[in-house]
Amino acid sequence: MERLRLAVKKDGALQFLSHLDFARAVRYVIIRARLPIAYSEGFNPHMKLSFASALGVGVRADEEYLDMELRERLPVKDVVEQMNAQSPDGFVVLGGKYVDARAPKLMAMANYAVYRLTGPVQAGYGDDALQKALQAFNDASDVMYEKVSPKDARKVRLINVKHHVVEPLSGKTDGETLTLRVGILQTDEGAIKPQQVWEVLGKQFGIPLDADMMLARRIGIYHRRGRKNQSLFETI
Amino acid sequence: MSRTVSIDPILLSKVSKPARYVGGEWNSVVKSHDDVKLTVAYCFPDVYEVAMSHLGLRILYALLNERDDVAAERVYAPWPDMEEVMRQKGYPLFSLETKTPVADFDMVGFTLQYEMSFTNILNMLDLAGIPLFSKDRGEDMPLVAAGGPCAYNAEPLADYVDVFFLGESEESTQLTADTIIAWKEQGKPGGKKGLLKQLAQQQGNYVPAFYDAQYDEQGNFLGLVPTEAEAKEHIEKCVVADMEHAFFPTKPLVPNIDIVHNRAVLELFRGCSRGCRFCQAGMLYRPVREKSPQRLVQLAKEIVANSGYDEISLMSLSSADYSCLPELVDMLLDEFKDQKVSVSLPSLRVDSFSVDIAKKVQQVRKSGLTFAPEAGTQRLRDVINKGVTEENLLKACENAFQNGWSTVKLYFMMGLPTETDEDLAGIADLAYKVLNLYRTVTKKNNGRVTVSVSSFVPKSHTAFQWFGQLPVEEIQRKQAYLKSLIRDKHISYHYHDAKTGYLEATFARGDRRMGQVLYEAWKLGCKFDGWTELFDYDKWMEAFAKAGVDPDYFAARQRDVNEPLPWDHLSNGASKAFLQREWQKAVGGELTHDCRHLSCTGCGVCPNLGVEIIDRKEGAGRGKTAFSC
Repeated sequence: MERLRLAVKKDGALQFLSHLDFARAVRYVIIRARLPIAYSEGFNPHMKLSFASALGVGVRADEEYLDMELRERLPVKDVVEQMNAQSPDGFVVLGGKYVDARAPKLMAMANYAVYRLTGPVQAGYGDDALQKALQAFNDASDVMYEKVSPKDARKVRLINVKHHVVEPLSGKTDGETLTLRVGILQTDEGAIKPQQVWEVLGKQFGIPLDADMMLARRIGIYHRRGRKNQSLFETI
Repeated sequence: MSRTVSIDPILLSKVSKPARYVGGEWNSVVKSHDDVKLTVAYCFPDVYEVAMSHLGLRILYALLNERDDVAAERVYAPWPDMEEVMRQKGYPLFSLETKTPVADFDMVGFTLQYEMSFTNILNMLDLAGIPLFSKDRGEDMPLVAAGGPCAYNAEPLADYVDVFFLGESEESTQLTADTIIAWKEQGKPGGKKGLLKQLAQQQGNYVPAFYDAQYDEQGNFLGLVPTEAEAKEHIEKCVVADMEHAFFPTKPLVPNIDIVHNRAVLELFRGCSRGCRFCQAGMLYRPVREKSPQRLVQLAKEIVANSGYDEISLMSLSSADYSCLPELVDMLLDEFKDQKVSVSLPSLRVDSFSVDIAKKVQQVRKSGLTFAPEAGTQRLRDVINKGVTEENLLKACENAFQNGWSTVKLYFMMGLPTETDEDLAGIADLAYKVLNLYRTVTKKNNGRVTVSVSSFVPKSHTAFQWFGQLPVEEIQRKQAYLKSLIRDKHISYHYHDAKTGYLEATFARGDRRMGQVLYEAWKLGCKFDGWTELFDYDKWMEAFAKAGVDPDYFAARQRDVNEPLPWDHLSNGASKAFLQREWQKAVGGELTHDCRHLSCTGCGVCPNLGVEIIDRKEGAGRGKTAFSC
């Protein structure tokens, strides 16, 4: 078995897919590309294919990674070309690399994601005010987010946003549009969603944004060790 | 220059399943409207997952897009959450391919699969900014067309649709496109009415505005009178005589989200000659015309290669009736043995043979088996001409249980003509017999029998079209009675909402006056009436009251076999005399055989339409075209 790691893009029509639908769309691409993909044994065989993360509906990803197991080693260039020739609008294979069969799973490696968040902000909200608000966030030692269970409103969990947003936030306003750059670290306790960071900034730092109106674009996903972000192609 | 609708992606990401509205599917065809002579918006009045699963529109979409001079695009009904966004922000209904407003197309075609989606047609026209009533639409508005099974009783939609297309459109669609293109190039002589006059002269086309409906003093329907010279007295369906070479799309649209039937589809044949007397499809799609197994394998290879699907569904009205099924299944399994492609057979015949085939195709995954005895006693099965015995069913179940199946689903109908409580008790008996058979065969107690009972709705163009639908209360009583007879936890019992069936009946046998009811219901907010969570019976009753129409007049009334019917002018080729004979035989419990294997039963379709049954195995000598596999 050859384990091939691919960097892919999810945008266009595909940005609106749930993770399961996105995975299915990729499977169709692989079948159409006639790749010698390996299947699990057993009653209901499934393709040996795994992703770095589960992207939510509406989230574009400039970079996402997936591992597939091939029955034979094809040149990476051929795989990329064959898949791109069979890809629907919004899916592009950017590049690939064979990795060791014993390399850690993508899901375990990918623990840092950088997003660009965009949404409407109240007219007249200037850049000075924004920078002050972001500074206040960056300077705070703890920022608590109350996560209410969607199933049971009595179940509330407190998350310290600062445990996950470990690099300073930056952003700008352009007319009535606010753009923020947010890095989110996944720790043993889990992670926080971009949507929740957006909401916190509105509710606790006075940025006049609409908590429900935001679009996230993931511009990078990495393995973070200490203060260093490394590419998921680097497996050692 | 064409306009396009661009929806704020932030708003889109807030609605449920936004991928329903963005297009971009593999094998979708995007053309610039500036490069073509005709633009067609194919509209399906239901949500994406249902609409995308429909084969008919996919065929016509691919067929028209093969032409360089036509752009065909898809439009589906937005779910209420998306509709709210669209109405709030003023987005008009748009096509999935180029996001063009529907009102900007030359032709807007609706498929009519189910009466309970009629309000969605009105709602979609309204969302598109197209006046609902044909008479209110100016020359700048698209031609509104409709086809599909419900077009065979077009009258409830007569005020809304410019032209109906009856029957199979693979060939007639080309002619329609040519006609519209020529009309446009000639500077639209006579305007839209001029075009409709041309279309009215072509086979299968019904222009309702060219007829006046007449009623007697009591308000009984007397007939339609043509008001234009071009309007024919009888409109006969279009039929594709040569199914083997008929267009079939080998580059199917592959949805990005899961849909109701998400797999490659292979249509084995069209038509069904079993002659079940309740079945409208069995009448409308006559005669049986099979494709050869060689052609089917070739199509399957192309479809799988072009789609990426790993499952092929063998589709037809009764796929187990395909004359070369064992050969075809062997050929397909052999063709795809290295590709993890599975083959599925959606409809089984109630016999052991079909279980053997199911066993073969389900080597990998073993799902439950479904049989449709339709009625609980032999007497009633004879009335409906089901031609299935209890022995057939039990043999098939025995075979299934011996081969490892433990779940069987049984389909029945309730409210059939001549039905008594004894027939309902027969449903429960049959379920118990099947369950006990499982216990005897396997010595285990983990079998499951699902009994699913729908309420019968009399449909036009069937032998039961004269029969009155039972009142809602009576159906509910019968449902409760049957429930009281099923007391084993290994048998689950499902039934359909009686009110939906009743409303369906008002449309199925309604005339032009139902159009006003539809309008009132739409104004009251009715939509997606086929969806239990959105169906509001009380609003519909209010709509009937406002329109001054008695629903019982259409749904519940037993009709005289000689009275004029609102669909008498619309023909699938079968004669009314044949249906009258079938109705008499039904009441007498007399069977009619399958014309495909024995003599002609005289429905009239073949001689009237100049077509023949095509059975790939049947011997020669009965005027049937025969082929050997």
